[in-house]
Amino acid sequence: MLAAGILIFSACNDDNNDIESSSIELSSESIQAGPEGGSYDLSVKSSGEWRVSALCDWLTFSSLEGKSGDKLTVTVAPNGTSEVKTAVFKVFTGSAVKTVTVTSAQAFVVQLLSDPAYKATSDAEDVSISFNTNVSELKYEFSDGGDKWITVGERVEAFGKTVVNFKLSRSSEFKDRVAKVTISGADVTAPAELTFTQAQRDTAFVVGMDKILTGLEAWDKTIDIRSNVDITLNDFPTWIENKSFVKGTDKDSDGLIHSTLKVHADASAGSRLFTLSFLKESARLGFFSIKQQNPNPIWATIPDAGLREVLAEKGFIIAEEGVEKAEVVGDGMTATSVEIYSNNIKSIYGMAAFPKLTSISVKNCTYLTKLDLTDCANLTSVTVQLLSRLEEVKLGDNPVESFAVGSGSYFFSYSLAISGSKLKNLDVSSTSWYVMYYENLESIDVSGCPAITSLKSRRESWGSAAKYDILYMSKAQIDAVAAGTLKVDKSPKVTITEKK
Amino acid sequence: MKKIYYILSSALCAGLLFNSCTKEVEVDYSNEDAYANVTSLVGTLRDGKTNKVSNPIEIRKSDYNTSVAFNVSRAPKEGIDVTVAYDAEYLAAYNKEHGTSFALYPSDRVAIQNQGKILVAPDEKVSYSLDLTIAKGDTTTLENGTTYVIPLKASVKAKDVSMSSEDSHCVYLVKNLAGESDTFKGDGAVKTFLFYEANDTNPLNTLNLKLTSGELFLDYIVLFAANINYDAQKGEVYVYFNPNIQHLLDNNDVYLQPLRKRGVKVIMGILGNHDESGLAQLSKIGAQQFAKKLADMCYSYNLDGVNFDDEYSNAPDLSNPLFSYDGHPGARLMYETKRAMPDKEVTVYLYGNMYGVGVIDGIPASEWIDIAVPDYGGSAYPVGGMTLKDCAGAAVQLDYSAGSNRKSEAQNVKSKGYGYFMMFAPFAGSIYDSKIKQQVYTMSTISEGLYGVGLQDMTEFYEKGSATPRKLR
Repeated sequence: MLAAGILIFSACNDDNNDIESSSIELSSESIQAGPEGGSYDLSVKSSGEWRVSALCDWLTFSSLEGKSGDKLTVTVAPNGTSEVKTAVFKVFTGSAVKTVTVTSAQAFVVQLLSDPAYKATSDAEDVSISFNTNVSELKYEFSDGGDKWITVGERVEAFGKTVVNFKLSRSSEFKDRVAKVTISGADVTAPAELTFTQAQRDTAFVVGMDKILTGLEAWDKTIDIRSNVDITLNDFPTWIENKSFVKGTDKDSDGLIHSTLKVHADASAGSRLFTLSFLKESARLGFFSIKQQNPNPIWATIPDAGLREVLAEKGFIIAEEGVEKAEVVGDGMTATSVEIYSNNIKSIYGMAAFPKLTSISVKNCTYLTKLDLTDCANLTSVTVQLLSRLEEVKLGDNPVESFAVGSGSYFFSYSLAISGSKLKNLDVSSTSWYVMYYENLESIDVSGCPAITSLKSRRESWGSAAKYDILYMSKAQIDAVAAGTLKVDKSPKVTITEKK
Repeated sequence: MKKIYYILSSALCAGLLFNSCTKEVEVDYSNEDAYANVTSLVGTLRDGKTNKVSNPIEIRKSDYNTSVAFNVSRAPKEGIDVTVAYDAEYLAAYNKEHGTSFALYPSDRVAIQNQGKILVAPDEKVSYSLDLTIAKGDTTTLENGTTYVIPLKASVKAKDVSMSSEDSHCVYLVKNLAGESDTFKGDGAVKTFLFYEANDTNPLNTLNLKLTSGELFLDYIVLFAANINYDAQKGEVYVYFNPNIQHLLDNNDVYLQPLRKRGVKVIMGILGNHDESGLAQLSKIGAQQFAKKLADMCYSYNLDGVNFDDEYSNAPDLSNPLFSYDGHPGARLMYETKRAMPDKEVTVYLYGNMYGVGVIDGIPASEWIDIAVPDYGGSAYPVGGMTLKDCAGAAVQLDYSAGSNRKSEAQNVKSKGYGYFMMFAPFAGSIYDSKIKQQVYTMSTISEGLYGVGLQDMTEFYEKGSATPRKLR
């Protein structure tokens, strides 16, 4: 019955016989074009006139209709993108349809997404440059010796981009340096170009001599200065007169300007030092030492530059920048006490050079880990405050009988050892609330203090004990505690442990 | 009609024969029209995106792009030439049919690809789509708020294709909203970035904060805040919405999308919530898991991004593989979030341990942080390839600062080249009308500093939970 129905249906459609019996054949039903595009011929055999149904902005057709045997030329536009494109069009006659699939291969592109001109300072720098690329192995070419100061770092794919890290080394050049980096790869027709401009290293220095060092007599000197920027000089002391400072205007081929400074110094009764600084705005680009030298100096060796700076400011020494050997002068010969207060001091070594010192105060030296005063034979008083990284205090045989770390103390260090043969009263207690939050201190070692009779070691804030819980003592000290001749005040959690 | 009758009657008879062995089936032959389209060729012109013939759209200050396609009820078995064109004559019939009085949207603002020509292939029921571009509206030649009509007509050469007048037309009902202000305040203008305390404040008040020149004052609003929390039973980190945040999300079309349509970026704040799942203490696995959830949230609720505020979390159990202090976890979370939703914005409040790392997996922060905003009284600083344009140069707590003049501070932010000005919590806490006005005054002084003009007086106020404003006293 169903078949009968269909037969009836078919019988009623004689008008459509031509449509139903139509046929079409194409020489190919797919086109694969390279990124450069191209034209592709299809031959069409059809039972009737054929037409093309298509809408694609990167395909054009020689004709949108024809008859059997005609050639259909399909032109694929170049694919400038990094992605494969596909499209379909249909060729038909009557009800017969052939669908043609066109694939346009992606181009291999290196498209710069970051600014193509990067300006860097003279310091070393890592620069992340973003690309849109589908090239697996990028090639880099450097102009103007750029490969000497630019290296290619890690390549990372993220967020649909390729990021390449370029590492620029620190420049010591007196002139800006420029290099173009051409980034390409296999089958890349349009490489990316990236230009790095690294700023010159601003500089100023004296040629022909590294310092002026004379006796105490008067003198006149000419100083030949080279710089690659406009410089000014720091203020002169009264004993040196700036007779003239003639600045050059044009740069030589090496990028430097020549300037001439003429100075006069009066005669002096003792050593004196002036550090001439070359300034670009407030930044110091270089310096030059000018010194009148006492022929019979007393020298001190002070390795720490921060300590030298503090002592020079106090008039204890004359110190040239970068030179450990300093001359003891003025107050340094006679002072009985000194206060050292600086965050730039890492070592206190050298204080023995000041023969009259009996009292020393060290404050806020937060990077000082070791306070070694064993060579300061006359010291009777040592005061400290906020030495938060202190790990060791060595008083040696100095006649220091009392020492305290301060009630406001807190330590980032994990251990603290204090020693001194004459020490009787030792106070390592604290009531700062910082001990509850920031302190790392776990142990205190007093075994190097054979003479102590009183030890305060309670580190508590509002009744709560800090982390510190081990007190190292010698066998003799532990016996003295038991005998009642050494009084120890400590938090209950602190256990006394013998120092082996 | 006749042909289908024969097929169906034959087929149904055959079916009856088979079924007669088991039970009787009652067949209703009374409505044969339902099968008419099986054989007749009915054509319709429809929007390519919605597949509808009638398409209400809103148009503002940018073009509207869509497409049209020709549909037929069955494969036509021969090619059909169709021409799509603007049909002004249809307006009268349309208005009569619908009892409306719409005017035409100008034909010179309507562009149809390929001169409107379509060739439907014999085996297609839907043609290829033609791009349709409807040019932006204006308020000079068009009336703001008025709906206009674009009638597109499909003309067909094939004699077998039947189309009613309605089938042959695809209609766009274009509501001109070009007169609605948006957030654009000039190329390179400093943008405002404001946190709403969502537990107290209705974000619709954004629409009441306008410059005297008409633009919306707020570019970004943060809903402060959803939370990061840890589900110990499931062993996963999740996004928690308190009832107030949930209400805003549930009523997204009322409270949030109207702002987005006007150009305001709507950002979800993410805050720690007194458990061990802090924003800056997730492992890489934990960060990836949470980032996926944040992305799901932004895509599901059509939000523009997230803001991270690392506060109020407890110390984690570091034996849990989801938690770690290693590897810059705050930066890692931002990185993973951006990976999970690259088209959304990742923003951060400079607090806790979220910010400061310049590179993750070799990728500079500029790729995964869009905006950094500071704590009150400070300025955000760029890291990892970011610039001041990615940073807010100032942050003002509006509750504490109500009535204060911040013009010079805003001028400073602008002159130094920062990209954003941050504000926090207007209209929050114990609020009353005079305090609202004091806070608006402070924002007005910020506007003066940033844009040279102050804000319009705020006359209406949206109370929390209401989409209807009340008059301010």
